[in-house]
Amino acid sequence: MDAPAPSPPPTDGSAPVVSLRGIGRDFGRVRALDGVTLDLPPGSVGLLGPNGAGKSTMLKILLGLLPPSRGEASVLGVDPVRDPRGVRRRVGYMPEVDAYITGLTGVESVSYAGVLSGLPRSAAMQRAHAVLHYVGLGEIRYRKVEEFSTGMRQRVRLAQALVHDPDLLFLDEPTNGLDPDGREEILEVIRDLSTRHGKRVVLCSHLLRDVERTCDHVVLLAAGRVARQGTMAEVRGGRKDFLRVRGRGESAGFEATLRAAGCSVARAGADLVVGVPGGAGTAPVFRAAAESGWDLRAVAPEEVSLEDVFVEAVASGNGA
Amino acid sequence: MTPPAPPLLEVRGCSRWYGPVIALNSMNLALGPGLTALVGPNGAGKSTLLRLLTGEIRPSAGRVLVLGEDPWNNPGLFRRVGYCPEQDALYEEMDAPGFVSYMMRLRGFDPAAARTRSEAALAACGLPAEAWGRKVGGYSKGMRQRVRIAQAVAHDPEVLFLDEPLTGLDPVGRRELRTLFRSLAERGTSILLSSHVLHEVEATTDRILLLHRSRLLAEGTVQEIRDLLDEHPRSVEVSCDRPRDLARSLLAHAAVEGVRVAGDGTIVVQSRDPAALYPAIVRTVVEEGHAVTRMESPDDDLEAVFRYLVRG
Amino acid sequence: MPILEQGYEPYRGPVGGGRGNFLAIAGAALRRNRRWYAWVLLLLSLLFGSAKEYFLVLACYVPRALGFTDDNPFFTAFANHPNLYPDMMATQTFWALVMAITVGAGEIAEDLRTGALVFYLGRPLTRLDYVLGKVVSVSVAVLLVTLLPTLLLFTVQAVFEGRWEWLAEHAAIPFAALGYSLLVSLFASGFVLGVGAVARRRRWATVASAAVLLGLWFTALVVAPPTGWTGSGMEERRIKQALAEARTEEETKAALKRLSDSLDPIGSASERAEWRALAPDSTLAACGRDLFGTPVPSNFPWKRHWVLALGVPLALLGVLWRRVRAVEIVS
Repeated sequence: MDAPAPSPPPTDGSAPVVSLRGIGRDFGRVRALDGVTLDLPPGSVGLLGPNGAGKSTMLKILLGLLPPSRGEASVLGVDPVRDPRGVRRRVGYMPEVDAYITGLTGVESVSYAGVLSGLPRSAAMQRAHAVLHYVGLGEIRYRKVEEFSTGMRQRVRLAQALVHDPDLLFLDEPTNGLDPDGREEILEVIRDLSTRHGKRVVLCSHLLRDVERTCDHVVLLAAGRVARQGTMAEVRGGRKDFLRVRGRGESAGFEATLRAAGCSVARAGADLVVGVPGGAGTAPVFRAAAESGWDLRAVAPEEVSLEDVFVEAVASGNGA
Repeated sequence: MTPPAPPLLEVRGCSRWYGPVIALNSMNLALGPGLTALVGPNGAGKSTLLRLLTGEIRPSAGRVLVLGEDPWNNPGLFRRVGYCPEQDALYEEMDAPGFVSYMMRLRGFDPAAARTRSEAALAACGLPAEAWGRKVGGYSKGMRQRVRIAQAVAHDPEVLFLDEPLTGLDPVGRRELRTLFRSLAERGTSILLSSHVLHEVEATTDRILLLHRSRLLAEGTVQEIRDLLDEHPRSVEVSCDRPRDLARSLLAHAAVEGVRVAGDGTIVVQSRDPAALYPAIVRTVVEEGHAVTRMESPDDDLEAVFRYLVRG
Repeated sequence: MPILEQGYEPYRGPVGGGRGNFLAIAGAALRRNRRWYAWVLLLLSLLFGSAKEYFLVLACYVPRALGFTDDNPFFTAFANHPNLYPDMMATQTFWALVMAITVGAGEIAEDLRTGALVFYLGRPLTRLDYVLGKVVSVSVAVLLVTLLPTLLLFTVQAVFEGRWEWLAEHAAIPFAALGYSLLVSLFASGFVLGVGAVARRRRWATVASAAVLLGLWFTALVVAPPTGWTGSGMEERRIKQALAEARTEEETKAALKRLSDSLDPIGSASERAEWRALAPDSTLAACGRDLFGTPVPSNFPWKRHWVLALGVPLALLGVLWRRVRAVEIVS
């Protein structure tokens, strides 16, 4: 009954986890995915895109639930078209929407998920308890899932995705609708999984800030194509020689001193964005603060937020 | 400039309990025009406050005044107030203009005016034109959310309540609606919006109400609340070329309680007196000529404030 | 002793091929349907579906076992009639369908509502596992009403008879009962899962399939009411007269044989017998009579009951198959 021992995850740390070659998918005349070619590196990858960009179609193809109309896909070296079960055995999928079975308690539904993934019954029960602890569900696990709050249901879904110890996790909007504390805890779990336990994570989220703080890589889909991809730093770029500066009190004197030193100053909400002459670094800012007596509180290289990148990429994608 | 107007919203010593469970405890609050964000952990009383203000429920004690009137059992008030509840409830069989103009007719507009207003509101909320003829039941979550917000703003309300209005929207939609809310607020509408996504709150509004354990925990602009935290210990991270030298120099200052070298050129400076700490850092950096790449406090943004106040 | 980490732990144990997944799915479905009303219904089904035959058999054998020498010819005739088992299962069929509706009609709708389909399809299993699991879960409920009491009664009768010859003579009965139960299971699960899958709420699915079943049943009742007798009214009167006039034991036995021969719970002898096919339990029961080797004499032409009994559930399972597609999930 036991399958041949599951092949170990690729030992080469840099081998792509997911590799797509010219993947396309049509629904009738609608082209949901249009020739997507990409390699997702190990680590945590943010898969982004506006509604209707083809993210869910891509997830379905990667899970082997939907055959692509064109192209080839490989997930952890397994072809999801030819061996969909093999892919799903090694992948944990946390859906965006509620996915529970009425009448089952938290721990029962997680261990049931384990059994369906091929774990022996007793092992599934042990893992269910361990994994529920890990995602932070305490005694509530003995109650029925339909009585759970949004946040607890999310944790159960995450536990279900983890119970069979997959090599790769697809997490679809794992923080949607959570309060700040709950969101931080879930993100902490995701970071821990990807950095300390070697799980490869693909995170889909509309909350770009969460992606910024969790993922090393970003893939941005727009209108069925890859609009941007790369490491977080590559995608966000950053504006060389611009600094974001924050302080307390009236800043007019500080700004004047900076301008006198040859810097440009612009307001951005409560902060200032300062352009410094090439190579000067933060020195002019500190000097101006010391001279003008302004209460400088923070200086950091100005970064382009993922949201700016996103909005720009989507706008240019739609214009094309 | 107009003279300072009386508050559009007023809550006086208001409490609400359900049996032995208290959802809101002696709340006092007055809001004028502008955009105010309502934040707090789950179960802090945000939805209860919004339901009291919209007259869905009655306070167990105290008073609630919206535009000077008691919202309970006061349908007349609803021509001047807009509300977008958290529940995703629409008439699935109607198209979007039909639904919004129906809501407008309920608020007393004649059919023609209801139609024009609803179309204007849907356009302002960015519902794509090709979706207008379709039934609401087939809409995506983002489109439904836009319809629900259009329904709340179509009659140009003076006061607008939005409960988690951005949930489920994609980043483009979030940005568009945030812009819409800001422009409404600039036109003088008083908006009270609840949200869980703090960095978005920070980008949308400057005024927040922080609810915790059924009470008002903090009120004011993000800046004001942050300033209050000056009395609390905090840590500052500085990245520079000679971290150990900088650390040694900073330790000489009375305001510095401790310095930790965190690796990759970063030191973490701890202090109980931020007001004295920052000038000390600035002076040291300038005098000793350190090449600093970054100076930031992890305790400085709204999320840190929230964490600090809520977790205590 | 090391300090052990409390965080995430990898799993190094065995992983199965997942070939028995449909059984796990069936088990979960059954577990969630263990509600009080399911037990009440099971009790009612056993009572109305099997009590009559149990009474006949016990009334025949118990006095004998207690030492009353003179057999009651009436009970003896009925307890040994070849139609005892098929007729019992014909009555059970209606209750099996009711049971299936209670247990199974809401299954798919509930899974669609709570996203359980997403839960399943994210696991290493296929649509076939899912559909098969649901069919098995309904079938178990059906078998509890049909096969279980039938086999039990057969065992009771065999023990009372206590002869190998009897057992050898009647050896076909358990197999026919099994075959018929499986047929009813297939029909019932196809019917409730297919009709129920159209709805998105448990309650509506149950109401819809109950309405379809009762609608067909009542239409058949009105259009082609079962007479209760295979023969004409004349036959009925003749049998009653023969019973009344019987003097010897042989005469009584012969009259009783005629009586039980002509009893017709299926309604095959009604004036518009072809319309009886509308009532699913009659159609199935006609197949049952074929399986037990006592076909209904004046039944539907060209084995239409078989076409219906197999075609309808397979077509409805096709509906379910279309409904459980991956395209609709992961939205």
